[in-house]
Amino acid sequence: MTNLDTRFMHLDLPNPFFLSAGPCTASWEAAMEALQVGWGGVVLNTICSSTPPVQGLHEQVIRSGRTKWGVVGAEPVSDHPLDEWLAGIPKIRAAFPTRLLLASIFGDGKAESWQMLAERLGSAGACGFEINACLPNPLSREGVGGDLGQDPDALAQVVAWVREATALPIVVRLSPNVTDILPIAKSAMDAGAEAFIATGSLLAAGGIDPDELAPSPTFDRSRLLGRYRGPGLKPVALRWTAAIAKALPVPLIGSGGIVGWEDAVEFFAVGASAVSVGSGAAWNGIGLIDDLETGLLGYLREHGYRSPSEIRGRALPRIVGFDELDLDHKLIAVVDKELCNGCEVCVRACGDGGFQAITMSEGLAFIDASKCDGCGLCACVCPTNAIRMRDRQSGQQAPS
Amino acid sequence: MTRIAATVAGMHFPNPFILASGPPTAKGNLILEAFKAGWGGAVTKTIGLRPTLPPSPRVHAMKAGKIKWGFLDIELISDMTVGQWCDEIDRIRDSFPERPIIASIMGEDNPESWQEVVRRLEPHGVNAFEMNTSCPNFAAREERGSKLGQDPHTLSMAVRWVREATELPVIVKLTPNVTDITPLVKASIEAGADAFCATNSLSGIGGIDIETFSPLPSVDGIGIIGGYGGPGLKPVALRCVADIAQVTSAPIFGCGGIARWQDAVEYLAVGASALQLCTAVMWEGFHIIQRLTEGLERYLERQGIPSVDQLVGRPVPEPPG
Repeated sequence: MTNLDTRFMHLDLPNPFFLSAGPCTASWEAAMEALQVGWGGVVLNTICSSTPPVQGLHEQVIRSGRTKWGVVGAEPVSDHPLDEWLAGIPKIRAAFPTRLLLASIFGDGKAESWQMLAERLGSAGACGFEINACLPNPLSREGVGGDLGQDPDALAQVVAWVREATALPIVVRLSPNVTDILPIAKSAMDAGAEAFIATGSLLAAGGIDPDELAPSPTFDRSRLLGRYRGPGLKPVALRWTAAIAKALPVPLIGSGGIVGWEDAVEFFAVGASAVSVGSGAAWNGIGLIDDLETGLLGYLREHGYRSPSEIRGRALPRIVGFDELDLDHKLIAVVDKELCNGCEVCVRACGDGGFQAITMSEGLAFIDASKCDGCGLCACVCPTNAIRMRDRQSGQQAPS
Repeated sequence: MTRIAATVAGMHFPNPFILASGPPTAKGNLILEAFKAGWGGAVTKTIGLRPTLPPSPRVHAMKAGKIKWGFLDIELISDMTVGQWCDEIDRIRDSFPERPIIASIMGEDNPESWQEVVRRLEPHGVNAFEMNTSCPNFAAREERGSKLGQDPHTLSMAVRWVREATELPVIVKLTPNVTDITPLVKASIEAGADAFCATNSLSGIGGIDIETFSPLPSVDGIGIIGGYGGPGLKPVALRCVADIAQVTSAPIFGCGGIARWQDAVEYLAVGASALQLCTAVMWEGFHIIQRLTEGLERYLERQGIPSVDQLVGRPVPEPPG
């Protein structure tokens, strides 16, 4: 019997889909509504002990035509007063006593600010805490990066402060803006972190409108720099999730560009036990949970898995070093004549970025097997998916 | 089209659009075709003493619907020897004696592996060397396995080796996979680097095949952490260029997700002096140079900006408070 039941830390949840701290959890009412429509958990928008740090950058959607694939903006934090959250959390808890309800908290450079938030929000009914390590380091020192999660000592200090104040689980949203994430994750674990969200947002620059530059090419740096989330973050988040899953025995929540159920499967495959959705829900509405649940359930059933946990980590043994790749294994491009529309996109790509192996023959793409090196570029660029990469049998002739 | 000519690190480019090191510069005849199409210059695919064979397949496109927003590749350096490259460069030089050719090079953790490549290529008329610092196999003596471009001390040592071997401009191609890029910039400058290319690709997983659980691209069912480039890299690389421009006046080649003239303007505005392109050329072909140069030319004309270098920005200081 297949279902989406998910055990995460000490919780038994109806599904592995959580909402990230952000616009979809910006008030206790919004968080309640998300649980009502079926999300397995919510991370409340980050509650700060004092004025939210570095805000003001307006959110810029990164898109090609009408297709959105990223957002550059400020890191979301709550502008609702603490008392409002303290009044709302017990109501959520009463209605949904067993779902994941994490309060994302952020204090200043002193223990009291963090401990006050943890004590009060914990008493109100939060089941644990998120520390968003993508926010500016409140213990910043000369020569250490700007994210809390770029400074292992500062992060460990903050985790230890919160640990002193509460026995509830501490989950750290890691910064991907690091040379190596493992020392950071290890030091947070040593200080008492129980799970990680991998990962938070990339440091980035939003776009500049060329027409706003002239006559002098100056711009306001504070308006340019921001945090990059959405699908464009996914390759980096997958990489770090896999790295942690391979090295550390710790529950992981995958996060970064999850828009469809397939994205979730990818994160499970690299070691996540659950996923957290931000931009995907902000763009498509919290009703996205229906598509995620239906899609994942269908996938699990079709493949004979009983639960999402059965796919956890399945890709990890397949992520290897370059030396382990078989360089003698050569593929060849094959054109499906039914699908090829003769657009010549592959001819130009192979001509200038490949091996000059494709020509047009009777209005369709034709692969010269003697020139094709099996790089796969033509299959990537074909707009009709008419090109597939197949094993090259020895002595195989050009497809007729 | 003189308005869009660019002089960077003493090299004169007819326009600021340069082919980045990669598959479109993997052979001399490709660079020749690109120059005929009008490209401002080219950086060769990375040349080293130990050529590597490429896996098959080696690229994967990340898409939303039909829109490609990212590109993941898993190949290493050129599969041609230094000797073969000398011949290839000679052939390009026969037709294009003046067009800048930058040799991308990569060595190992000893001076000879870098310096021999420099000494053998230099007589063939390359205009500069670009150091590929994303070598995954660069084993610093004290810290095995660390990448060259992620450790300022190791990087400065390698830059010094190349500096000793040549008077030509030395460009350091930086990786964005670091906590802070500025110490690497400073270390390179101190070691004698003349310019930077920012950035190389992000380390990433292009995706997981949900039927086989292989990373993509899948080489017979397995895969590696690859290099993520294309449009999705642009917000990160643009930020890196802005950060580098804060700490050095050395020229910067902007690189990462440039496909339109507007992208070029953005890179120039945050401090790049010229641009390098790879993914857009692989997806569309050399002919995009026409729309890039025409677009930039018209933009400069429309805005009354007399030359590309007038557009090269340095970020204004952050306002107080």
